[in-house]
Amino acid sequence: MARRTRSRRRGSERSRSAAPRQLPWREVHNPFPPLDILSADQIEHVHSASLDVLEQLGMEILGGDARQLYREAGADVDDSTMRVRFDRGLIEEAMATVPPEFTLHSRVAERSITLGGNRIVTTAVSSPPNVSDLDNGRRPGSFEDFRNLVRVAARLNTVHFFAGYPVEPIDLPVPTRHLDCYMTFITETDRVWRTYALGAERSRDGIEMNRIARGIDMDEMIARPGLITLINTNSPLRLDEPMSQGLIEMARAGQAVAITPFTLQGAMAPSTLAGSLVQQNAEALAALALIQIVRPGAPSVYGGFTSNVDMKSGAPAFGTPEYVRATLASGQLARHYNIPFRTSNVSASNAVDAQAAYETGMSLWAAFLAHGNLIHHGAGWMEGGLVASFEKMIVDAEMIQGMFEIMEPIVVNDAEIGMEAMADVGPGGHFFGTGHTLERYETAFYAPLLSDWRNFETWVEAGSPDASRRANGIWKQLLADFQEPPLDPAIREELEEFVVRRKAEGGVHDN
Amino acid sequence: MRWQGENSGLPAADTWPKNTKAAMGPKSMARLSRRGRQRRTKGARHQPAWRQPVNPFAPLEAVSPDQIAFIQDRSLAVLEEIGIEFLHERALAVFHDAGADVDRGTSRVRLPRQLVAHAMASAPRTFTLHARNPQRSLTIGGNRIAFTPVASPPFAHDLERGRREGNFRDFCDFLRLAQGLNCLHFFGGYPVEPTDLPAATRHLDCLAAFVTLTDRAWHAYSLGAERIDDALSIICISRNLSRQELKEQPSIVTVVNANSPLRFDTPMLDGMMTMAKHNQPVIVTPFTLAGAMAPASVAGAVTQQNAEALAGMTLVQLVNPGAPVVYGGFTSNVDMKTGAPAFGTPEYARATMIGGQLARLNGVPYRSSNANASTSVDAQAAYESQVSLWSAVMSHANIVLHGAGWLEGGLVASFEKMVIDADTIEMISRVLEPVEVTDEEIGMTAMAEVGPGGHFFGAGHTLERYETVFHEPMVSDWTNFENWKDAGGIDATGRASRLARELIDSWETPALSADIAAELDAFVVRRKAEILGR
Repeated sequence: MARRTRSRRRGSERSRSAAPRQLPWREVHNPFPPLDILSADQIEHVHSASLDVLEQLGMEILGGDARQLYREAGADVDDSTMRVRFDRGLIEEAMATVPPEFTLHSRVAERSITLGGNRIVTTAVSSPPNVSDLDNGRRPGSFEDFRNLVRVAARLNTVHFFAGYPVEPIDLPVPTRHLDCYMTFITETDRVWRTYALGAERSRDGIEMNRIARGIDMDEMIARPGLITLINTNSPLRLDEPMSQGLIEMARAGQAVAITPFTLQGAMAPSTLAGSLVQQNAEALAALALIQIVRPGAPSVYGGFTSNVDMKSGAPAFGTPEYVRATLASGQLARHYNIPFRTSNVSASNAVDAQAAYETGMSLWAAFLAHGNLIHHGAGWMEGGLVASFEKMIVDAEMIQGMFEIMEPIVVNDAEIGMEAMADVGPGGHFFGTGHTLERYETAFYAPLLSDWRNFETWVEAGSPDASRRANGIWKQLLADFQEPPLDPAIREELEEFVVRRKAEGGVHDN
Repeated sequence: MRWQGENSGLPAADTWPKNTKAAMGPKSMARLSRRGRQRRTKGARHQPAWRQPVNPFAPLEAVSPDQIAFIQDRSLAVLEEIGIEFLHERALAVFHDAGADVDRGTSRVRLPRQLVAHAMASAPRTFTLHARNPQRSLTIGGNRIAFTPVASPPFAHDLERGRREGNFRDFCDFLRLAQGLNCLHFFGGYPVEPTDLPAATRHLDCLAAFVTLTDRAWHAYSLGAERIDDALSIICISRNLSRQELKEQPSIVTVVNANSPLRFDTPMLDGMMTMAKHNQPVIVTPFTLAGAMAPASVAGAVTQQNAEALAGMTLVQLVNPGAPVVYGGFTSNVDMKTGAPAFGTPEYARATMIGGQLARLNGVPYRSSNANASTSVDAQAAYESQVSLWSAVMSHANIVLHGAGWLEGGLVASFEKMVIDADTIEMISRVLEPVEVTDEEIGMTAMAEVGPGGHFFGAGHTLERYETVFHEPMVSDWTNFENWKDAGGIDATGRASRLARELIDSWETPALSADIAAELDAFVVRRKAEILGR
């Protein structure tokens, strides 16, 4: 702890030097119409076929509580096989109460986020078991790495919230790990964060800590949700018990739940776009219905994560043409149900190289064109989600803020056009010194965080640093300059007491 | 199947490829790996077949119809009030005869908007670009896209030999490489400038190489009428056409850059008017770098771009009404600290979309580029190219010049970058293909057969589609970290280097009749003697 304090002090001295340039934190609105890849008839076909799947095949629901809730809502439940079949009316009735948009409240009001409509929020990478940087290579995630990634991400204005642990701190004991991680989110960041829906207890701990951190009572917690969880169905057609318990707990407390089937084409779903979409949609609808059964009107998100596998090895692939097409179609399905849409910024490369960037570019363009509202794994995801990379986090931040800049409105008027400047400069001249240029000098163009536009000779003289080497310098500077956001000491004390008590109780016992 | 990537709050999060293999069972795994091996041997040659992508999407528009009308109006005002410098006597005469206000002393031409509107009305919306191999002919315009290799960098680069001045050996290797990449539809210029060849006769060697090493359509530089005339002779020989027949069949393109701001130079105009007279397509591309050769705002730079493009295309239409023209958008910005050009920036993306809107407003095909400013084939090169490519495709570009191989803001042609760009072009082209939604494609029977928690690896529905259902990229490596590391930990650029070599080595001479080859050879010999004997 002493070492950490020292390094923080050094960091604050260093912060007087030029900090990496970034665009300011902003609420991002997507001004473009969404890109539709399916016709209205095709969307209706996918919708109808997924209801057929739910009626005829049903889902395997491993949680007894969830089955009971479905049964009470009128579903056909077979407890011996755990199979639940849903008639169309049940699903359609449940989906009718889903809110089209909602706000997640942060303990710092300016960091609250709204999901839905044409808004976009992006997150840090979530849940990889490994971490990587250029200095120390690839290794299992530790709590120190977790904390460093949280600190770097918390300094990036493109990371709107934490949708999970940027790396799994596997050196912490499992039953109490969530307590340390949630505590870090609260004390070291001012952002909204996510609870893991692995059983009811972890969810309850998260809800309680969020409530304490915001200094509110449970009624206000329900009225103004502050948490989100992400539920994966165990594709094909199965929802496991811990996930459904977490879902039920979060929905009861009025907190947000995103449902994301993991429908990898050719592995956990049919190899076709149409087939994987139908299955994704069926699984999403079944779980979304459960949320609405528990609490009609509870904030929910439709997650699309359909991609394909490498047919040679079975390895998942991301940022592929199949992924892009599934993302565009999933956005359409979410709009069909008038529910916020979650997608991701993903790639499968083993290095922060051209492949990582082009796969990420494909994922990001797909996300923006599909009107993704929540772009999960926004910064730092590598190797199909097995690694959180410090350098990739910076590359992603650059790519995302560039996309945000593309979405800024363009001013078209005579002052901007500058016809007088054109007349003054005349044929064959240049605009470097004109008043029109000098007036706009500082702000006319996007200033990159990472891109290097020096000429070749200067770049070679500087040691030929490629993008990942430059990213290495940038994250270290961000980390060194990190400062904890203020937190009311009474709240901190209450949180610490809660964590101590829960640890003494042994943490979670339900899975 | 349990995947813990997103919810790995459990101990020992297993990597999922391992799970997959365990779950697949011996039979389906054996079947898969056997097929996998067969497919792998195809290596770089395993590419989608040659095709010209059709863009099914609505174009992405960065400004409103009112804003576009405003920009168009102000560009016409630039042409009327400020005018453009045309450094060519004959061009000035053409404008004068058409009723423009021409100042011969300053070479300044002011164009009334009715003159521009009248000239642009004769420009075709689409045209066919004929290749020597009729299967490589292209439709330029509408929803079609054609991609080209990089054009005109002075330097070449690969991992093995580093950065060097462009030379004819590299030039020929780039032609062979591009000929092996099915997504590159024609040559938009020399992939690298062969600076070791004498400037006066360089075009003869290069154009002859286009004919003998490739079967695609190509570009001739508008550096004076004589070079263009040689190009017309070469295309007529290679396609066995008379000059009159060539007029019916546009077969070579030229890119004319305005010397922004507001100027067209003599050699460019000379070549451009010769091309127009012979009804060969002219791509008019102003080089409007915001903050340097154009105002430091997106609105100002695209207004100037539009004025210059309209002026150039108007000249083509005045010389030969109905001659094919293409609207070229190349507006980007400079780094305000150094003056260095930047590409694939947010300003570039927005200018690209506005350029597409202006091309559609003026009823002509649209040319954009796949540009970036990185000094190495790294993540920056790839993400800037992603911005350029997506904005080109989403703005409905019909020609994506510098589609593959461009590095360092156009100073370098990179072998590795060419392969990586080709791979991403194929991926985006695949995104554009029609989607089939039928009960058969959906495969509900397969879902019933697999059941909850099972897998689809061995399902009949999967096996029937196994070979073709997914796009298989050349460069992307999806093996797990351990295997990748064991195989040397080669990154995308390293893999692209091997693929480039493999493609160059597997190049095959495209069919060319002996008569044509001999005639071409004789022409080059004769013309060299003429030029050098002067």
